[in-house]
Amino acid sequence: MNWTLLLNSMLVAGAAASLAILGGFVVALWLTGQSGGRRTALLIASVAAAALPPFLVVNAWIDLFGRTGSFHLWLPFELYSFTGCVALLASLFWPIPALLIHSAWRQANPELWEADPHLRGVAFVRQLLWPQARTAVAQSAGLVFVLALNQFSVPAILQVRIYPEELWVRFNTTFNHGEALALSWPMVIFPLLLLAWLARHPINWPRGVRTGSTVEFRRQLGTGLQRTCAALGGLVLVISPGLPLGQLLGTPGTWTQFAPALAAGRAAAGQSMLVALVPAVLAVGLGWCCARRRWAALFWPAYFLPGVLLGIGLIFLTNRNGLEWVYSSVAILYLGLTLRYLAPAWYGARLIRRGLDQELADAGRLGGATGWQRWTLVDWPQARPQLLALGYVLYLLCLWDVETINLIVPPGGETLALRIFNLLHYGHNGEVNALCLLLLLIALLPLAAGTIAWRLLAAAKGGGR
Amino acid sequence: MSWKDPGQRTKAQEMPKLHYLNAGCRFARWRLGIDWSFVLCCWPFALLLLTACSPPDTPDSRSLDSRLFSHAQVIGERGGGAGQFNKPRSVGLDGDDNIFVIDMTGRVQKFSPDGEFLLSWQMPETDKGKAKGMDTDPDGNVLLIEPHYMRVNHFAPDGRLLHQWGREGTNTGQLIFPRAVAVAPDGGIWVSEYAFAERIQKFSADGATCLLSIGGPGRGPGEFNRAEGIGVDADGNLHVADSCNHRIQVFSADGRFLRAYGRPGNQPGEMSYPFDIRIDEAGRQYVCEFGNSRIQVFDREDRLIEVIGGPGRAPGQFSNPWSIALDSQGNLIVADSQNHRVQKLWRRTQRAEVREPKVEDRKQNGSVTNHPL
Repeated sequence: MNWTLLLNSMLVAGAAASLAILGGFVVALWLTGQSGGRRTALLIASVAAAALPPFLVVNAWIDLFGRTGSFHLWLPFELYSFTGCVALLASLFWPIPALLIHSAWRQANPELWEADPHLRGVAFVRQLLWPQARTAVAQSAGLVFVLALNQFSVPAILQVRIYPEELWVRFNTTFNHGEALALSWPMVIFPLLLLAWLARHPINWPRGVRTGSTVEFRRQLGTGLQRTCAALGGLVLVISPGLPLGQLLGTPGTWTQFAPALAAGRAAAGQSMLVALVPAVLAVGLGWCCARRRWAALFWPAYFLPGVLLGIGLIFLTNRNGLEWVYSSVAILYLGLTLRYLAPAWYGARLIRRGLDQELADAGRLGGATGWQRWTLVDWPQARPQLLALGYVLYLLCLWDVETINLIVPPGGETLALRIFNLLHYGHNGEVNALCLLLLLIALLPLAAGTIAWRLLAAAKGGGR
Repeated sequence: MSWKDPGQRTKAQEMPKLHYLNAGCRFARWRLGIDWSFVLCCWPFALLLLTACSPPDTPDSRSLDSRLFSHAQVIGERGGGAGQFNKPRSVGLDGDDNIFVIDMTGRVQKFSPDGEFLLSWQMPETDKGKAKGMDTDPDGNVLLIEPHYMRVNHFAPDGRLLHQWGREGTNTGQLIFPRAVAVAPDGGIWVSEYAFAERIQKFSADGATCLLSIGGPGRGPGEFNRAEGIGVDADGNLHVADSCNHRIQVFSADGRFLRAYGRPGNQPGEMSYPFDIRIDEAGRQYVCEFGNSRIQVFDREDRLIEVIGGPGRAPGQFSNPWSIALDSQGNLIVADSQNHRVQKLWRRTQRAEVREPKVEDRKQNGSVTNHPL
């Protein structure tokens, strides 16, 4: 048991969570005061920041803030350090507190803002907003802490020694599954504590939009604080997603090396798509099937634990006679990613199911409709957009995943994410940028395909009339 | 489900066994919340219970459909013990064709030409990163690069450190993330560097003097984009695996750019991240492709002779090979990185039949057992 590394991990996670909450709180203040298109744009930027793959952000930071980076002269901090790792993790996770806090304020009664019209500025934040956001702050602190604690790829690339790395190194040097799994208890405890706490304090996701409250919110926030929040929030958005995307698209090497990277990486690109698509579909399907079952919450640890640990477990389970076909083929990637993302799929499906018209489902049941008929005629037409959105989120998660598949990738199963991760160990170059761009295009592919399909369907329907 | 239908329930009552089954299902569903969706989610574990718990077996050796090599012999398996590997990254040889392998744990292992484990030692410093890049000097000693410590080590075949040199820096004569090493016929030592420098320098045999520096970052002739492995042919020409430019570049002994070949892709003759290159006495060039998990052999005119391997775990197949070495008999040793093993491709001119029983003998003796990953 390496207590120093565990302490290091907790320090990194704690500092990253604190910084992420600070940034997220400021963005939430700015976001809640906006309405219409500006609010939508800010929400999209926040979601984009949350959706960016960690290695893409690391790649951009290495290019910009690394030892030979363009900004290194202006901001001469050592990226390959505790500070660099914390800053980078905070830039990845700030959207979680921002969206949760924003959601808490959006769901508050609008009359609350009008209760004391003289309450302005900092007093308004301290006496009205903070009590409303306290639970959301605690929830996001827990979430970011656990996610940062079990983050492996960013500290590994930045060569910051953390506890999951100890697991990885121990397993890699001794190949002792038992020892690695026994060592992992601190990584298990924190997610379990978080899950237990979240079970008692469920997250309130945004539902309705109360547009009437934004004007009052802005007025009570005050012009000075509003401008400060806008400036600081803008800075957060520039740091992420602005810098990573700007670096990616603005570097000439990205474009000059795109064609060679595509030609040399066609197999990996195809593999990435499959490895993302199949587990996403499987996870959504399974999640939907057991959406009403509470025991499926038992799969949460698979999501919160370090992916490396899941990989070690899968090697232990499948490297044996009779399961060799799983171990030596991409089936192990499908299995691993499905297990890892089953809990978010189940949770999403559960939320979607709650929003369905229960009376319609009951009517179908009473009318003698079979399960398949209820699915095709009642559930699917209602839940289609949400289920597709959930599937897309899982597709992205699987597409970016490096930690789960790093140890279990079979011959010929290399994905683009894994290739980027491996190349990043030797620092940034145009090839990595080109591969990141390729990965982003693959991420956008389902959206493009969906849009085209929807338009074709709409055109066909229009023609039919 | 039958128990939901009152009509079928009556039928079930007529058949006691089905009735009990239905009752059991209903109880499981009502009391435990378990139903078919539970089974769906737990199938991987159920599958496990249905299978035996012993590690799988695979053959150690397989004949190859190759003009140059008769068969592939697997050396080692995944693990941390003697003769086992974790992502072997570089292979090298001493004057007696003994095989040296450095893996991701920073351990160097020595094997006999037949693949018998002989000895091992751990590199003393691995905190910053692990060693990679090997070659043999004219005295039969092993040269090993430590990229993150910016130095080159000379080891005797018994593992004694004989000499160590290298100063960190980007100036000529200094080293910044050296990656690979190749010894020229004149005894000079070529060292490739990536990241900050993207260059290849030639040092005197003791490393004290920098004789030459070529390259720089870019895609043009003579420029590099992560030069990985390097090899020297009998004429002293330097061959460079320019990995992220997906090509091989050839330079004269005095560092003059001669030619380049290869383009990105996965068709024969195309390349995806060439990580290493070796040249035999006939001028044949063996290119180890990380991205396509194969070895391509080109003649001295850069024409493709044959493609060996592809992604897979059978002997003769590879998974992200990192490095190769050619012994004095023309056998090719491959660091089959992601398969956590080394493979030796036996030259066809030798009597392969004589070698193959040896592999079986070893398997019977239990000296080296080879399992997949």
